[in-house]
Amino acid sequence: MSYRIAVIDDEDKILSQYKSFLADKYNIKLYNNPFSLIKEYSPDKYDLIITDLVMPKMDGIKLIKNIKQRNPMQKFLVVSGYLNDKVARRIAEIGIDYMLSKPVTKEQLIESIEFLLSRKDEETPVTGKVKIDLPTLLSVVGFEKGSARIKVVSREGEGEIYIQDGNLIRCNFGDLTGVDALKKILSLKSYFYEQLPFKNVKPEVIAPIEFILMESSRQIDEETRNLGEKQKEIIKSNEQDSEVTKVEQILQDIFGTSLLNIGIVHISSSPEVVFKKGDKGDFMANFISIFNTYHRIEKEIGYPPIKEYVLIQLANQNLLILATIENFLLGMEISSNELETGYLINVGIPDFFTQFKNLLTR
Amino acid sequence: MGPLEGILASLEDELKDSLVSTFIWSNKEKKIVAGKNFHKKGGILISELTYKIEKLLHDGNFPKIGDYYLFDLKNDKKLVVIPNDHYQWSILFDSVKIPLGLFLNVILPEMIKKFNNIFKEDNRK
Repeated sequence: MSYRIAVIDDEDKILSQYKSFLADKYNIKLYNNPFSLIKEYSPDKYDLIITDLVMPKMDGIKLIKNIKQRNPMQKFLVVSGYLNDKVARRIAEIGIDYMLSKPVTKEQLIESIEFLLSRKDEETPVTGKVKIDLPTLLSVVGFEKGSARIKVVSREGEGEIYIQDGNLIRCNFGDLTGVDALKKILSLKSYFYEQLPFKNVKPEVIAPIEFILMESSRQIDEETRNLGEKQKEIIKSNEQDSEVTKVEQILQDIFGTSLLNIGIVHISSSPEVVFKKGDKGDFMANFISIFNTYHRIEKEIGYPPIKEYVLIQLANQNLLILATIENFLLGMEISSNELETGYLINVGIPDFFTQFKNLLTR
Repeated sequence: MGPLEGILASLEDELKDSLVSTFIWSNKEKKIVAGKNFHKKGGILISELTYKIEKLLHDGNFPKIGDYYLFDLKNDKKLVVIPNDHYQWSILFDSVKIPLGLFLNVILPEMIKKFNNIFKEDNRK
């Protein structure tokens, strides 16, 4: 028997896309406004409801609240271009199962649906695979003086967090326990977490979750700052120690004479050019603002974050390449006369980035 | 089918299911005039991004943007924007499904040529 899924979106084009993605696999019903669904809804009608958030007259959050009043176990998947932190917090508060940012691919959609519908009911509250990060969830639970049990899985190990009345009462991660374990979890660069049904356990520690979050965030800032300073010295000391610096050697090997300008900028509250070549090296620091402008696109319409670089083809056919690596912004102008764009993107740039990262970790 | 819809159809033919989203923003009308799977706010946001890049290039005494600019994004996506005096064409695609070399060396130049020909034809009329 195929799953029964209701899809609500105010844009007909998006509804058609859902139809093309899902109709051959699921029993779907499309709605272009929340009122039609509310009118037809009964608790056993749909296995899953997929909804947009921003719709005229009634938004997705009001729709979810309305349906949840009639059937608290109804599963929802929110797909929206407006999943910023504030919205994610509102969604977390009403206990949404899963969220995806637009634009969404057929594979992402089916993977999320199968994940959601294959889970048992008692396992399905807030799952932060996509947009609610763990600190946001913890801060919501802390702010509401709520309780939660969260399992965390990463390449470095597994752990469990117990929060009761807004306090951390137990936590383990690898060999660590208590506040240290939670701080370690919060410092992980990548992890997956899921919220499990809360169960009473004997408290091993009582520490307000909000204080731990604040302390952890302060420590991470400090560590990042210290690492940045160390790396800055690596680049600078190279310049002083030898006639041809390590950075120059790498650049020469990869780009030869096609490199016209480069500026390596240490990113901080007052950006500093730590290496430059060519008369425009100093100006490269200004290009940081392009990354900030793109960040708005990422936040507002859900495009993926920048992975490594931005490439601008200039009117004279030269290429301007901007990248952020660890605490540095790299801006390079490369002549197109000698190197072909495909070679640069597939070989030259990745090779330079790898060698630059290696230099920083020496 | 108008010339802008035609060019989007030919892009779709080339990229097939690697195409995630595409739209053409009119600088004059300040709205998206053709597209597929796009977000309504995408047009204004991308035009702000182009403006920002143009201004920085001008301030730094660099040449203007040539035919395109490209953002390397997470989840194996690439965003390519082709701006000209009249329109800005944004293309978000999956760079695993379509090799980047093929896109940059074959598909993109062909699309840019078709895109610019529309305006040459308009000027002849």
